Parts: sequence; structure tokens; C-alpha cells
Amino acid sequence: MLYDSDHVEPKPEWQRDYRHVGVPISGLTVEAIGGTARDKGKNVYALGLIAKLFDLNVEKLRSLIQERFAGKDASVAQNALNAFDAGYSYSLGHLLETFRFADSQVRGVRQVVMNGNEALAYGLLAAGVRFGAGYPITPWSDIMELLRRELPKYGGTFVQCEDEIAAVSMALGASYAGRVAVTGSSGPGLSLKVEALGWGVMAEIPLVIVDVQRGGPSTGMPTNVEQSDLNLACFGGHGDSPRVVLAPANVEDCFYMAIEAVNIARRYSVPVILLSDQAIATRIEAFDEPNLQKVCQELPLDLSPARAHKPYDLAAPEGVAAHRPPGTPIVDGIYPVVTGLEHDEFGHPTSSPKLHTQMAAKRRKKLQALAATLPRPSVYGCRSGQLLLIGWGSTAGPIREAVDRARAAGQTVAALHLRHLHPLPLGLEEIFDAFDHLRVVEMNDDGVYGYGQLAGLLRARYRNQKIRGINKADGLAFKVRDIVERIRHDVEEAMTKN
Amino acid sequence: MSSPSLATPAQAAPTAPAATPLPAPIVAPAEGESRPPLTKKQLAADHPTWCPGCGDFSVLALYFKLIEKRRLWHEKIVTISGIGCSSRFPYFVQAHGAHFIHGRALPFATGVSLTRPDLHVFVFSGDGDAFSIGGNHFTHTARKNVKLTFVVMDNEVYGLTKKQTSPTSRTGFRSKTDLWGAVDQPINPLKQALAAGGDVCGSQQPHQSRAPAADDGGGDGPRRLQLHPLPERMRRVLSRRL
Repeated sequence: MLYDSDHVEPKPEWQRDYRHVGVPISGLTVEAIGGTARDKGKNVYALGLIAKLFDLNVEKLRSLIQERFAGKDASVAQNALNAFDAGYSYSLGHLLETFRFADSQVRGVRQVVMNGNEALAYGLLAAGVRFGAGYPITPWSDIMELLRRELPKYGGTFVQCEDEIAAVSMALGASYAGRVAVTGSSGPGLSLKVEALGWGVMAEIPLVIVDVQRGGPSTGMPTNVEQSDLNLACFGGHGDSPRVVLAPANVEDCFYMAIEAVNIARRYSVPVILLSDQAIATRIEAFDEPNLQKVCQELPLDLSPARAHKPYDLAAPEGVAAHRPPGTPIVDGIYPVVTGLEHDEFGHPTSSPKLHTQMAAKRRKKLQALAATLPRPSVYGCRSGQLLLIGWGSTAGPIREAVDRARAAGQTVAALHLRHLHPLPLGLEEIFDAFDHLRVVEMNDDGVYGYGQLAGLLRARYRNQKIRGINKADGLAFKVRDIVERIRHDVEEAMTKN
Repeated sequence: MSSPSLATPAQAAPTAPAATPLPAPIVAPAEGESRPPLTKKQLAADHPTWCPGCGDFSVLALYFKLIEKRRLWHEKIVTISGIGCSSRFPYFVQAHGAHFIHGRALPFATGVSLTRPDLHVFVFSGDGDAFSIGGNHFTHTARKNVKLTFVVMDNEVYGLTKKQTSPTSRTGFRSKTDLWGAVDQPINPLKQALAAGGDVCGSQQPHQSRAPAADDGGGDGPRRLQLHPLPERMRRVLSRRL
């Protein structure tokens, strides 16, 4: 850990995990370029230090610095270069010898660097989404801004709406018209969208809704992280309204899961909620450049005539009748109405108890059919043992590292990361049965009944008393240490009980 | 982290069972191409559930007549509505239709119109749907100047829920929610629409629907609307759009 010794005095407990090396960054920057310690330049000095430490390409960095300050006075760029050179020439001494780059880090594959919001937005573009609507809210706004900039390049449109409800309505309109659309928001905005979401379920219209979770409830902590919208995503709304909920595990996953969300929405004519969170949204990661030739898809508008069409055909395979957008000639002259009223097979209103039962079952069975196709998630660590950590979303990294540390300490601990949250993939029972204890690691409150949101869902689904939670709802991401301590505590507690 | 897997099952689109061969695909309307006008018989679907004598019947009749006179293509018409007596409209029209949630028909129709400029998008709404719960969208859709036709059947009362005060109810109107008379000023939808930038706005009393308004030159269809406040310009725009 490099730190500015002019400003920071490391506490003894910090030294436990990391070695701290002080560099008087403020003083040396002033020495190099003049001015005072409050002036700019320290960041570029630090960049020089980092370049030295990691043996970065100095020429390239120098040209990037010049590029960055190109529009300004020449002295600004010169000052920055001086600060960079000063940082680069600072003697780090034997510190440099502690590093050696392993061969495995040199890779032949091109990589891309972006944050989760960007990956998600580009995933939607790759999936063929050409219409979006939204309303600004932190931290969802980045996705909206990017789509508003990029979509016109591909013949698409993104509309900034007057409110969240208009945004989801407009997206549903576009989806109904044959272009699978996206809308999105963060916590409070998703609350506003749920009535229309219920319509999407009832009318069986494909739609992708992105929810970049933040601290809640209400306005909550807009710039902090929490995983507390799961219940809203899975069950929010009035009536029985089965919808699909997915949660990407890292930045790369945001890209691919966006494509998967679009394909599920189209295949099953159902709204799909993509649960990202503030930690993934703003975290910058490098990942292998996606093979765009392979993953990019076009979603052509199919207006080929139909001989006859029942939008809610009860006999359709898996309960999904292909959506016929307006513009499709229906040769027998009986045109479909899509509706939020309970309906017969043509979409006309009914209050028949039999039809309501049949239609509710049809909507539910679509999700059951989807569940059967979902891949069973793999277990990280050992196949059986004392403790299984179950996670979802942005906590994947710390959970894995905690597992590694616990295993190094001789405990048989494993991790299972769920990406499909509703419906759940099949076969989780067998995985659960192989472990003595199950702990759901999630960033939300313990809850009135003592379980976090995914833990509650899993307990309801599997009726498994072993499922308990490791929760944290302080607005910050999990640290590996938090989880390791809880593992140690839980495993020891279990040992003494046995 | 394991490499993310793409859901392969989603790739295959559901295919309809093959039966008798379908007729040749109909391509986009060619310039100047026309079809025989649709008749009321072809356009009528469910029998309207409105109360006998309701003004909504005449709006439906005018809609059929408009489609017939303008020779709109059957599959290119979309009838969209929100919630209310008026909003049962799509079920009574034999065309693609969507019955959306309360007050939000306009943004829904905006989504349709923006993605599919080839369609004729008609939205039917009542005074509660359009000006109360959907008041925000009314202003903003006018401001966005979306290519769609918005028809509000304003009866100055909530009919479906049986006589509660609506945003266009006059002051003093006695309803189930205002037993001693409504106290709020009624809104003026036309003023609102014009202020928000709607470029074709008009209003009409039910009894006028059978005879052309005096100032419109005796045309057909929507030109019967009494247009405000610039009849000449409005009529021009209207004829271009429809």
C-alpha cells in the first residue's frame, strides 16, 4: 500500500493485512512543479510512482498525459509531465524487487476495460435492443446516457421520459410494436414501474427492466450499495405476476446477462428484471473482448401474415404463443387485443373462473419451463463439507476469496453463486444436501424473521432449516475479512455443537 | 469467476405448427396503392358495453367512418387505451389493439409510434384517464409532438366507477365524492394541449358528430372537428397527417 506520508499516518492494525510504504507525495510534487500542497499534480505524481512500480509503458503514458491536457495552456501539460517524471524517478528501492509478473498474466487475448453499467448497456446493444426509455436516477443514469448516445448509431432510439411510469409504459409500447425494448431504474424507480410490469406479465409482452440497486428504502443511500430490491423484483406488484429475475455476478457477466435477458424475454414473452447493483455498476474490470461476430444478434421485425392468431393460445407449446406485433395481417380478420384484463385466448375480457385459472397457470408454467432449461450453477471449492456460502450479484469476488482463505485454513468451505434468481435453476437441493451448513451472503437486512431476502426465498422454496444468513446492510460492499470471520465463527460454533 | 454462459434455449424462436400454406406476404404499402375501404361489418368486434344513449357510441361510429373514408389498411391500425368506460374501445374494434393501465395509454402509444412510424396509432381515453391520473403524460406527449391521434371522450364524470368527480367536472357538480358540490376549478384540456405544443387540437360536443361543424368546409372524418385556434393551419396539418 503506497500512501502519502505527508498526510496519512497508518494505524498499526492496517499493517496486519498489507505492507504500507510511505512516500511524501504532496511535498515532492510541490518540489517538482512548484505551487502549494493544495494544488493539483499529486495524482500525476502518483501515476509516475505506479508506472515505476508496475513497469508501465512510460512513452505511452506521457503521450496520454499530453493528450489529456491538449486543450489547455502548454505549461499545464508541461507541469503534469514534470510531476509524472518526478514520480517515476522516485527511488522505491528494494520495493521493486518484491514484484515479479507471472507469465499467466501475459495473455494473447485482447481485453476490454469498462464498468458494469457500460458492460450492461453494450450487452443490450449486442442483443439487438433498439429502443429504450428511462428517467434519470443514480446509479442507473449511466446506462441511460450511454444508450442515448449509442442507440442512434444503430438506427435505434432512447427516450428520456417525463417519469418512471412513462418510461416503462413507452418501453412496453415499443415491445408490443415488435421491438424488444429496455427500461431501467434504481430502487425508487422500480417501485414506480411495478404496476406496468404487472401489465407486461398479464399481457405477455417481452421487456427488459434493469434495476441498479442502491441503499434503500425510499431515497435511502443513493450512492451506496445494497442488495435489497430482490423481493420487489421477484414479487413486487399486485396479483400473481410471475416474472424472471437475473443477477449478473461481475462486470463481464453484465454484458452476457443482458443478452440472455433479452433472449428470455423474447422466448417466453415475459418481462425480465436484471438486478445489478451500485458496486458492479461503478466497478471497472478488464475482461476478454467478447466475440462480437458470435454474440451480436439482429432482431428483425417479423410482420409475416398469420392465417389466424390467438395471442393467448392455451394450447401453445410451453404456453407461449408467438407475439404478433401490429402490422401483421391476420387473414381471417380476427385481430388480437393485448390487455391487462383477464382475457380469453383472443385477448377479450372475461371473468370466467375457469379461464382465469387456466391463464394464471399458463403464465406460471412459462417460468417453470424456463427453469428446466437453466444451467445448474457450479460449486466453487469442495463438493461437500462443513459450509456452503450462497451468494448473488456483486458479492462473488469477496465470497470466493473468503472460501480460498477458509480452505487454506483447513476448513471445508465452498461457494455457490446464483445468477438466475427467479425462477431458480433445478437441482439445488442435491448441492445443499452435501453441506452441513448453508449461509446466504447478501448485502441486505436480517429481516423481521431473521433472514435476508435471498435466504427467505430459498427457505420458502427448499424448506431447508439449515439455510441462514450472513447479512450486512451498512451501504458498503463485503470485505473478505467480514466473511472469513463469520465463517470461522459459524464453523467453530457448529463444531462445538456437534 | 466461471465464464458466463449464454442461454442457448432462448435462441430458437417458437414456430407455429405448419398447416395450410399462408398467402404471400403483404409488403409495405406502395406509393398510391389502395385497397377497397374497410366496412363497418369488418371493423366491428365485441358489442359495446356502454350504457344506452352514451355519446361514446358516436365516437366509435366516427372512428369506423374515418377508417373507411381514409382507406386505412386493416393491419396498420392500432387502437390503444387506458382504463375507463372509454377505454374499452379496443375490444369493439376489429384491429390490433392494446388495453393498457390507467392513465398511461399515451406513453405506451408513444412507444408504438416511435418504433413503428408505418402504423396509424389511435388512443382513446376519458377525462379521468387523460387529465387526472394521466395528466402528466398528456402535457408531455403534446410537447414531444408524437405522431398519434388522441381522442378523449370527456363526460365530466367518472362513469365506470359510478359518478365520482372528474378533473373536468364543473364547480358545484354533486357527485359521490363531492356531496356538497365540487370545489375545484375544472381544467380546460384544449388550453393545456395548446400550451404544451400540440399542433392539432380540437373539441366537439356529442350532438355535433352527425353534422359537420359550421366552419370546417364540410369535409369528412376528423375535419368535422371544431378546430382551435387557427383553423386554416390546423386543417392543413390534419389533412397531411391523416
